[in-house]
Amino acid sequence: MKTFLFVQSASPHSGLLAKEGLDAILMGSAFCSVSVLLQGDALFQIHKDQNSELTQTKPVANSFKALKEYGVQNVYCSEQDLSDRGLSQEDLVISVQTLNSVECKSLMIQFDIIIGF
Amino acid sequence: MKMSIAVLGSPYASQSAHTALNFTKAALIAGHDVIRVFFYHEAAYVGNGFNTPPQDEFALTQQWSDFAIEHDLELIVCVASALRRGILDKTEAKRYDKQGNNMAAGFQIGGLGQLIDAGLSSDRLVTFSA
Repeated sequence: MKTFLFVQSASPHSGLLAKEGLDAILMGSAFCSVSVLLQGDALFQIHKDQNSELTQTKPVANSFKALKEYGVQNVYCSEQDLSDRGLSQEDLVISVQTLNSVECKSLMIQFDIIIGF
Repeated sequence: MKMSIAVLGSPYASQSAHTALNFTKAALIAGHDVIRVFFYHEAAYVGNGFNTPPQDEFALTQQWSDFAIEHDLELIVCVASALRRGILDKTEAKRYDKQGNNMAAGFQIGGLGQLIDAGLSSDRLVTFSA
């Protein structure tokens, strides 16, 4: 079975890309082994205490909490991206595996298919 | 090589669908099989048959339609992306009681599962991002 890495790069409230990317992740998890890399401002997608009611949008952070039930075990981010944004694990709705720059590079070659959103 | 193409960018706010068209043409010329082209996110607008650019401008939707029909290519527009952006075929227009339908010739409505399937059944899935 092929393995998929979904790379989310969009910030959560800059359009529909975060949500549509997440929909693709959930769909992918029904068919195959799926991992997720949150890159750059996509880390804010799993930031705690977002109030999406104010923007009349659906909260993407809640869907991330469901990823485990969908069989998505591994959600990754780079240590650098996390610290650049002043974030730590306590600020996030799910636990992520942090990678250093060498590990980030070697992550990509472990997967058959990479889809970026 | 078996290839599938994913297109995410808006037709008039990014180069995505234009570059994807050129790439797909080049892939066929090079002898590759293109199994599917999947339009997702803002690229759903590429499937809008009502796009009517001036005659001296490049007609992106028309070019994709002609190319798909000529080479019997499968062009899939994700149903969720399409419906929320007002791109409907006859069936969806009837289902949601809308007055018109605008899916361009050569494009079909499909589901996200077909994006995943494209990845599973191709040697390469090439994404043209937003």
